[in-house]
Amino acid sequence: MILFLARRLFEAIAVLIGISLVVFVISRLSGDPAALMLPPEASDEDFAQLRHEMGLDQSLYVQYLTFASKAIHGDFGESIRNFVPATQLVVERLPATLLLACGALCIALTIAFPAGIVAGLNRGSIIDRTVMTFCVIGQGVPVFWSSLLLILFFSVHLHVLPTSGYGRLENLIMPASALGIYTAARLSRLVRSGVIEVASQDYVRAAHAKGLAVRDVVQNYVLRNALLPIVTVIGLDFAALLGGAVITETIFAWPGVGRLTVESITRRDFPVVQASVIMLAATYVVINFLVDIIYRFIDPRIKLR
Amino acid sequence: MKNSTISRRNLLKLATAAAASSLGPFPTKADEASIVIGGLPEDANLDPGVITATDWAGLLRNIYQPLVYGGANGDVLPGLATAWKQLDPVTWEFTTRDNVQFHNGEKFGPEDVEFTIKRIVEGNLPLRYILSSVETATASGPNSVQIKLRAPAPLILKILNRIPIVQRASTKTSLVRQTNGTGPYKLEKWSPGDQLVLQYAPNYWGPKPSVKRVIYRSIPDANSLVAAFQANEVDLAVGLQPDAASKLSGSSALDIKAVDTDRTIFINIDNTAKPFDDARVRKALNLSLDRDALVRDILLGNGSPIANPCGPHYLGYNKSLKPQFDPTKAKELLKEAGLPNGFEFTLNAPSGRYMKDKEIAEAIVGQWSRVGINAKLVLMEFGTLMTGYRNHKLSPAYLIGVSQPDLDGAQFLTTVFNSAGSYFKDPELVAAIVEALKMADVSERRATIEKLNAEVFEKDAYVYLYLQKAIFGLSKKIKWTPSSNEEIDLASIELAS
Repeated sequence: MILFLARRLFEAIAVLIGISLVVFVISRLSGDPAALMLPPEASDEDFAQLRHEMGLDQSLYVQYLTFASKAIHGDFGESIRNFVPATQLVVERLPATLLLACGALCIALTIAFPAGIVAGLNRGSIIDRTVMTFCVIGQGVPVFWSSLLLILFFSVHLHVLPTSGYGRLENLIMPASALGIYTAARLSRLVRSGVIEVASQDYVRAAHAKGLAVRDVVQNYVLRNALLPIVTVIGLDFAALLGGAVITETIFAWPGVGRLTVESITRRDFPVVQASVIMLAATYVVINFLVDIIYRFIDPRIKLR
Repeated sequence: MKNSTISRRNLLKLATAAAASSLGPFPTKADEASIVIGGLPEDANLDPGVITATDWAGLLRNIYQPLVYGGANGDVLPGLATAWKQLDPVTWEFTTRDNVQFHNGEKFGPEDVEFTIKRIVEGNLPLRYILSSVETATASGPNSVQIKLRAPAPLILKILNRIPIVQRASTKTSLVRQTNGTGPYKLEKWSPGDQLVLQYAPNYWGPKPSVKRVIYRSIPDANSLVAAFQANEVDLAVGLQPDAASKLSGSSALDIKAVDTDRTIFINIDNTAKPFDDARVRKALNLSLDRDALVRDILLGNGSPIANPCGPHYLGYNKSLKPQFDPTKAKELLKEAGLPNGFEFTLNAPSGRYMKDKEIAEAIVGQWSRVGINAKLVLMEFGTLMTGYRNHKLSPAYLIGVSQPDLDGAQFLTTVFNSAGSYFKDPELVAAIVEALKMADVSERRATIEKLNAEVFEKDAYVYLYLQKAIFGLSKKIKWTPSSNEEIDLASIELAS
């Protein structure tokens, strides 16, 4: 276990260093924040001086070392545009991002498990086909489109939900559903195929033969064995929800980290981009780690090494 | 088995309760005297000495006030100063307004002006690019402050219009997330990326505004903004797109207002690159564009073709210049220039910055192709374009939009023909622009700029296009006339009774 933890920690550090390097270089390739801060009539000397003050005239290598030596202590620098610590900007957007990701995941799990199990147990039936049709639609429809349809129907037409915004539970319903349905479609297919595979195993047939109730067989024999790959995907999906909800956040005016990151990219606010990307990468690493731990609880035969 | 189910259910209940409580108190809903504005610019700082983005600076002008306000065509109106005079070429004296309080109750005085100017100049804040002509400021009496210039600056009053006065002893920390101004509104609360609420400041010295409370909502997506406006969640929708505006304009419950802004869209060209060194070719570029069609078909009427660099509110706008469209003549000129089969070049243009910029650039390329001019369009994100602008990499042509808050035509000509983004090389023209900038006499300055605007038109020194409009949506709850400077003066909004 200790060996496992040590190795995981080492891997995490390597991943984060790699990510920080990539973000650092790529963000600087696409443009110059000083160019966006100056009025158009400012002179070449103003530009050179501002770049000097911002340290942008130093070589990339020196800039990276300066950044890395501070980042190790948790200091990602001050936002170029806003003169506030970059970490503060990211941290104040985190609750919104977490709330949306958790909401979407709850909706996804609530739909995916019952739908996938029922479809898997009744393979080839009309129920199975209906579920699979919905899965294809759910996965095929882009989130920005379904989001707009939700807004048009529930807000503009029925006036039952606010079009966008943040702060009340009713604000969460549509963005979480738009994201959740998409994730649910992916997961249901996975649950279904897992159930189909396990349900034909000898020990499941034996359990049925013993006369156990269907519910007990599904819960204790089928699901538990089908769960491993599903947990992996849930972990990945959750991480993706944390980082990749930019479109949903924009459409529903949700003040999350994704939107902050994209806005910071368009303004070339490097410290904020670096802080948010590295924090999201760290979340990925942590979630992956948790998934590994959960593995062990689901299947005690797995040894963490 | 049963037990575990129950506990799981309880856990779920607990989790829901926790999620609900983490959402905090209900956000403030609009009541009678308050309005909701859809369109909170994205920013994360309230310090008026740091903010240069025009939209966010415009919002802060409801909280902070300058010494003087700049009007159209060279007018100057009193702000926190009631009178001003020039003592010598580099010294101005301002009489500060009596009985003005900051929102925290402290009295406003000349020391606050001195502090504000010194804070920007000595503290090297971003606003120093606007204040570059100012050396320092000194409170010279109980009601007067002197501003010392590095060199004579005829535009100084216009420049001071852009400097919001903060209270002496303000610090970076005290201004970043809170406000303390002298304007009609003060900050009630702010959650970045979500909403910002302003309320009427009871100790404001001026007339009481009709609207007592304003909730700015951040709605970055254009379609969501329209939906929020249609669902009556928003009283004033800012920055509507042409197609949305034309769709909404049929509704009797909503009012759509489009106003010409001070922002001109045009194309800069490089006369050192062949074949743009030939004046006939440049004229052909201008004559082959049907600006009425561009504005009508792509902007759905939300623009005004223009043949001056600057718009009509600027000092020195030349009324006599009219856009010309004559593709036959353009073809002839190309033939005369020895290019009967046209030529090829690259047009750089931003995507997602100005109203329908990408579509406009594509249409321009299309119109040019009809006379044989084959422009290869390179679309780029605005940050990339501006990096190219600063590094002189946009030759031979690029599309851009410029608005000059000082509303001075000479300043505008400087941006087009004598800045990092200028590629039209003409030393005589540049010298004349530099001379115009120095002129202190308003009528002389106006006449000179008018002449220069005619000169760049005759020389086809750039490709003129149009003025961009700003489109606002108003609910029946409010009455308001938008102004051309893209700012929303909240005190000018009336509640419909």
